[in-house]
Amino acid sequence: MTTYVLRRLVQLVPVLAVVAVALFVLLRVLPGDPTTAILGLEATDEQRAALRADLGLDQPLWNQFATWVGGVVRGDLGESWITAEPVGGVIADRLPATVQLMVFSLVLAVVIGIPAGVVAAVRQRSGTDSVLTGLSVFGLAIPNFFLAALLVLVFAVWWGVLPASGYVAIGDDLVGNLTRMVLPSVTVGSTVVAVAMRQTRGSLLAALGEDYVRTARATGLSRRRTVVVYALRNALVPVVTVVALQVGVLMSATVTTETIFALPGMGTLVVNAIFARDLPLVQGAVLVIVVFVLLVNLVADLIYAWLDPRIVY
Amino acid sequence: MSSENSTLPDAGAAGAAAAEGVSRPVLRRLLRDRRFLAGAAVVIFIVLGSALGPLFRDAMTTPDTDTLMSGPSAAHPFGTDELGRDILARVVGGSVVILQVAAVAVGISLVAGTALGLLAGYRGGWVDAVLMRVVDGLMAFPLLVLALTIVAALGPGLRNALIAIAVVLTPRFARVVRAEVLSLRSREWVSAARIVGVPSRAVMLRHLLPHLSGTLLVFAALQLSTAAMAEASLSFLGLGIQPPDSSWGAMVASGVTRLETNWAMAVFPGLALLLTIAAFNLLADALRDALDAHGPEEV
Amino acid sequence: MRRRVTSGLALGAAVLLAVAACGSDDSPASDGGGSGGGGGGGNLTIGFDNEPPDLDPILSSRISSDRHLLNAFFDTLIRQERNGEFVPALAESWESDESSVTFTLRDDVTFHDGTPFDADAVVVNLDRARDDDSGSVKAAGLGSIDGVTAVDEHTVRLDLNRTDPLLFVNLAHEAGMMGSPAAIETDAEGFGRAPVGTGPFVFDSWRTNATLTASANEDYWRTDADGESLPKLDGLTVRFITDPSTLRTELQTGGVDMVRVLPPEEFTQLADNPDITIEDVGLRRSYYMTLNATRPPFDDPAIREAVAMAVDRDAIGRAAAGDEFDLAPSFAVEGDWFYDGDITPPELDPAGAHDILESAGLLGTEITIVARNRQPDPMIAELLQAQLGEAGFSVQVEPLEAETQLSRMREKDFDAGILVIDVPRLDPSLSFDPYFTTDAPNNWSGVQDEELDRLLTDAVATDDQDARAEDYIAVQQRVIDENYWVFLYQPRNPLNRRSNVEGIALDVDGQWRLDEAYLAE
Repeated sequence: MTTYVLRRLVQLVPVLAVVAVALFVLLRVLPGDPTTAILGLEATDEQRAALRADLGLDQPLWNQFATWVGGVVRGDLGESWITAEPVGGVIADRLPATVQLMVFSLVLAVVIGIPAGVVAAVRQRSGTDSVLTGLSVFGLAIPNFFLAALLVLVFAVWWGVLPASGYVAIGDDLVGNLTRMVLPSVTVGSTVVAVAMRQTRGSLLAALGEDYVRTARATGLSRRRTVVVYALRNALVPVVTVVALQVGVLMSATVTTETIFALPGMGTLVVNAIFARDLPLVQGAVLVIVVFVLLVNLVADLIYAWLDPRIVY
Repeated sequence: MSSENSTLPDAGAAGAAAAEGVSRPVLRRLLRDRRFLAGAAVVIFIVLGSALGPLFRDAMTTPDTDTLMSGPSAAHPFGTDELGRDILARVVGGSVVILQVAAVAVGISLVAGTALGLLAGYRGGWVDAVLMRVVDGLMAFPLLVLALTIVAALGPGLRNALIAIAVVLTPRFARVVRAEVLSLRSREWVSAARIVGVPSRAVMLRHLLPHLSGTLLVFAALQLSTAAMAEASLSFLGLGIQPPDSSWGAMVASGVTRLETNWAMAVFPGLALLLTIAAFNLLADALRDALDAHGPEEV
Repeated sequence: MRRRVTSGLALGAAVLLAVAACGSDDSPASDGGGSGGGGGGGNLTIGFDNEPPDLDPILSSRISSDRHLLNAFFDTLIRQERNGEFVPALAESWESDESSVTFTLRDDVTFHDGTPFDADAVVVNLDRARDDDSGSVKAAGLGSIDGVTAVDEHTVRLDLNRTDPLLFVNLAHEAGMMGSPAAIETDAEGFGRAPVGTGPFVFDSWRTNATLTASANEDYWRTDADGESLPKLDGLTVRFITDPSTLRTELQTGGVDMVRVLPPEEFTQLADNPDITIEDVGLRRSYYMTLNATRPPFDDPAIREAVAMAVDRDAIGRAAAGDEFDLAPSFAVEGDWFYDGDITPPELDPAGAHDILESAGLLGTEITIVARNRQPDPMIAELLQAQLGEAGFSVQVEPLEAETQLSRMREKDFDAGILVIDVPRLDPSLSFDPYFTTDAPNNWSGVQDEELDRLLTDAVATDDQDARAEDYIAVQQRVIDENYWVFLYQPRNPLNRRSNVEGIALDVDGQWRLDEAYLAE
């Protein structure tokens, strides 16, 4: 197992190299530069040129790349071009909101999605099954910016029970934090809940058809016990994988969701930084996101291995 | 799906038999599947809409500042938008975009991803290692972030949005195809073909590809919804379609800001988007279930 | 990884953390007592769309919305009231002659960090603002100053090299803002992220893209007309929110008390809400279409005129702003001293425009309109696309990100561009010079017009307002005659606030002064 983990970690190195190169090249192709964001509209060409030199933008591309990678290897992600804040600090500041959003979404998936999937599978072809399956289709199909707008209208504007947007750190004001995270979490979570439900239902149905389950039933075990003890454990294996793979999807969902709810997370960070051409910030933030996604996938594989002893490494 | 290759009668015949023998029962299963029928109905609507779209071109694109944001009425069943254009016409016209997303973005990624996946899986060795590291690298980017950056680099617009979506989907196809190929490569008939000296390209195209078609069909259907969602999100962020044309995503984007005062502007295109993506998902589900029983894996 | 905290600021940061950790108990203003600042006027939460990269006044670009926030932290020697009049601030009085101005300073002012405000502080600040090498973008604005001398502890003399109608204007705003010399010396680079001035509010914290907080300056020197101490508010929270409809929802639900800018399609939705006051304070946003005069087809004045004839400005205004707009001949707003309602663009005449194109053999000419991809700009572009299409152009609209659009326009890779500026500005020179002089940084049209250069130079060589008004009216007439630009419409830019927010004072250009603001019960 340890060797397996190590091997997987080593395999991440070339992947990260690809990511770094692709990211860097792609960002340098962007038209426009950050001088307007920093100097304003009315700066002269000389002022812009001086600033570009200041930022090292007049250096050859490979040189800029080497400087950046050199820094990253030493743990230094550089400074924001626009605010001059250290990129690492900015990211550390933004991670909590996004991580919280993802954790809450995954919790929703576990608390709502999996049980709903179990119910749908156990009551296959019933009215309950149809309703739940219909809801999951809805959850997968509704664009999250549309869902977010509907939720804000209903819960913030009409009923006034939840704040429309914003963020309070969890340590500063727990209640304020939680009330502000409800709508974004439901928005982002709608997809994962649906995915978890569908996957649970599908795998559980498959497992219930397996020989060992039929045998268990035949030996007189109760239906509930069969489902919970035997079938569900096996059925959960693919659920874990599929849900973990959703972490990448969730990151995409946070981009639009954080914009609408004005959450200071990684999604808004990346989008705003791309629009302002604050390239060091984009590079650092995307790199962190990518590492995060890769690590979650790795952990998912390990859980998979742990849940399913048949898999040998 | 041909089996002309005389050197390998067994494998070829098996593949052909699979293709032949499978299609009718599969079709029958599909036609009995409500999910498939619902999905297909929506798709037919979209195709019809795309065909009829040009007829509504004027109503779609000509602003009329005398009927700004009127609610649904007899003259405008879905109401009018912020420039006084008929929302029904724009929703119908917007279906062209979905077809383009399906045909161009998913199409390109299907072809490119399949080619890369076949190459990596069949050749193995360093080709596989290099290709798969690139694939892993690209897949590690959150889809929307990568697409967003590509569109920002190429410039906004539907064409560039489609290219960006194709780029982000290609590695997914490559990975799926490679995995399938790896499992097929060890089959006797593939080994046999290689041993008797059938050129690699022929093995890949004539023998492996037909066996992948079921998997690819299901996977492509799934990616349709991803692609449609990505296009909508890019348009929402202002990087998608160019005026005066409109996609549902762009219409929702301008409508959600007025949800309280003029619900029709966001709700109708939003529903269109929702139904379409749901339809794609239902189709994918139905196809997977239909093909699983008699899919290529069973041959 | 923590944000870099340089030694000089470490103490401030530590205090801030302590306050944050203890809730409001340690907050100096929370008791609402009458002594000192922070008179129990509550905490004002502001929704702000345009986050400054930096709050160092000399780095803030000349024309920006940053002063809404800078005014909270910094004071100037003199203030300019909304009506244009200059009144004492950190300087109690001043005397001026042809070649110098002498300011007598207040002796009871200290910076937020305890550093006394005196003549030396003024010298440090003005010398820094005049020094290009410090990165200052204000140097040009203070170009008429030859030297700054501390005559004694509370007297400062500026030696001047020419008549400069803008000197006092500049001194009353960013270029003349006074920062703590000690803080600047300790960390000049970090100063803008943790501003230290003498203003009504003391900087607490700033999370980029999220929030900025400040608390009342207990030792603020200024009092209101009744002699009550200022500021009235206990503190400020600025929430940076870019999405206009999120801003509107927040104002509607009480998540913020006041919003910097809401577009008409958002604020009109709040018109009937009794909790919200939408007040027209004379501010406008001026939308314009600039034509690229450096290449065909718009290098031909006749074709530019055809464009001006084809544009239905009223229809654009109605679509984009409902009833909430004016049509104006230029950046000037009705009531400005350089406004002339007699300047009018060509009559709306799409058929005539079509004839001009036809006789020039240019029917179907392809043109590209670049616009920012944020509403209402794409919508305006779409209307122009239809209107110019009717006149015989074949119009392509490209909604672009801000940075891409500006770089395209600087490289003159466009035919027509749509942009907006907030008006009025502090002085008409700030509205016209950046766009219409030959060397202007934002000479989008590529205008090389000696007449305009002459007029604009003349207008800043005298402080006779009548003579200046004449020059600026001639400038506007010229721009309209040549149709370099088509001025589209001016949506109202009201002050949007919860109805219990009172006492907001405004600069000439409408930026906030919050020392007398408070939240009514």
